[in-house]
Amino acid sequence: MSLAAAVTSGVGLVNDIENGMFEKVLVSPMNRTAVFVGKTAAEVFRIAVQVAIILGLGVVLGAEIATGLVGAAGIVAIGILFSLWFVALSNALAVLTRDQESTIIGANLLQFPLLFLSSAFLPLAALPEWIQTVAMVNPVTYGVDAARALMLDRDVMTVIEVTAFDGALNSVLPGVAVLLALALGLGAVTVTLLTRATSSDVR
Amino acid sequence: MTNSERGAGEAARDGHRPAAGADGRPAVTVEDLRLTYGDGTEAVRGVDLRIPQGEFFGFLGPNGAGKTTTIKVLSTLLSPTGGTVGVNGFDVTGVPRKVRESIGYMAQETSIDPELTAEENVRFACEAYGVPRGDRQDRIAELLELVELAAVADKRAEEFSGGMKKRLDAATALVHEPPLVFLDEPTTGLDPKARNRLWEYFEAINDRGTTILLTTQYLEEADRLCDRLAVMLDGAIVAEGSPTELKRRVGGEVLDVDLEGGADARRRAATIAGDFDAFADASVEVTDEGISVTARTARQHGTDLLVALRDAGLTVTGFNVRAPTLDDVFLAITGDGLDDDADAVSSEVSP
Repeated sequence: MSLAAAVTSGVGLVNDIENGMFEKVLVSPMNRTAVFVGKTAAEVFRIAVQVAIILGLGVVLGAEIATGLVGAAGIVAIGILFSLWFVALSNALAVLTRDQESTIIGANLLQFPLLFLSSAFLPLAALPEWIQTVAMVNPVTYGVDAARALMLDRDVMTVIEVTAFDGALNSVLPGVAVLLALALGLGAVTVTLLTRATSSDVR
Repeated sequence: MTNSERGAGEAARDGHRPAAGADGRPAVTVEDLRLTYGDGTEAVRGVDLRIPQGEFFGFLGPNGAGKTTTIKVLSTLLSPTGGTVGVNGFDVTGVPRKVRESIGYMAQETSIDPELTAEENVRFACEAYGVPRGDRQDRIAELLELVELAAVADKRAEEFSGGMKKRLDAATALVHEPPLVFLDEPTTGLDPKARNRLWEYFEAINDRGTTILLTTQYLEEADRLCDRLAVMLDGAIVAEGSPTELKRRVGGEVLDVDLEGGADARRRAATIAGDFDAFADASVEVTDEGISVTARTARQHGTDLLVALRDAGLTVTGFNVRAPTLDDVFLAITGDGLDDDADAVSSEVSP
């Protein structure tokens, strides 16, 4: 869900490129990191609201968050963290392709395999071995497991076994670490691309 | 008093303007600028340029001549393939942010956020350019007043006409009171009334001491606004000078006369026009319908020629005095008119 919302972020940037606002920003002395951070902050706020609504609906429909209010806040936080790397990815695609369709196709092409080849819909144990292998390097697995662990208050991560912490934290902490690293890495790539971004390709 | 002298004086009097106005360093220096796009198109091939502060300078040329590309290099949107470019004393590749702080840029395509109101668009620009918080309210009010959009300040920009959008766009390019402003074909696609208002507005900015670099396809526009012009063609400057100097190269205005009768009548008319005292420097051509006279005094003494033709027993069926067009200027400068095909091809590669 965070993923789907994050996909559209790059589309917004492409719109800006097409209507000239992006060029207007490029020609201003604005720090390019600020350009990315500002865009991401807007996206993050939207995603946080969406996650909160879904959690609220879940509770109304009878789901129970074992870790209580703190856990709910934690799940929202994981949702945000989870969206960050995909916002960065989709914005990087936007700067590279400068084309709305390519950005949507590129982002969707990644979105669906990432979702299905993870622990999002089925327990990994029930899936063929090759999917388990893919899921192990799939960041979606870490995000989903971390959120699920908070929901159920126990260690549900099966791709890697961490036992250094207590219960659910064995899933949450590695998940957060993976997502954070990914968000920072892709964020840096996007900022670099934005810094070098010019109006056209030049020799 | 020339325009640039007046500009410098205004700048010195105007307290909150950046200090760049006073030291006499040129606003723009370009040496041997070359730019080749990724697909191999050589858009600019060796341009040299020097624009003093306070000048209203124009780039005149057809689509694809390299005007926009040059302006994009000057505003740091493109990195030059070769050559050195200084803007307000800063190198565009070395310290692009210093350049960006010191210029205003109005793109060829209107670039405002249609979902924001006029006031919000200008406010966003204030934030992008780091206008001090305390100054913003006054600055926004002043700019909206200047472009005559104060009455619709709270309306969304998507409801505006093309001319209003352009004026709003121009206002957003000026929030940081830059000493140098780039205007890339600011009036293309506007109706004559909207165009005139923009012109008045640009003249007002220039009178305040701001150096302006404008690109245009219209000789009329360059003539009205610019102190000095560079005519660009195929990525190079083919002529440079004041509008008057350039028009002198064309040789004045053009009087087309349509005549009754055959080739013989036209030849006789051409002889009369060639010997005509008031058109000492005229060039006369025989056309399919009559004759075409290019002379500096064509407008004042055109009627005299018509009378002389009638007295010689020739029947004039129509006449028209027109200002030289961009095509005439190119014809005079290069000895070759604009090639429509080449124009179409090169406009595709122009970003």
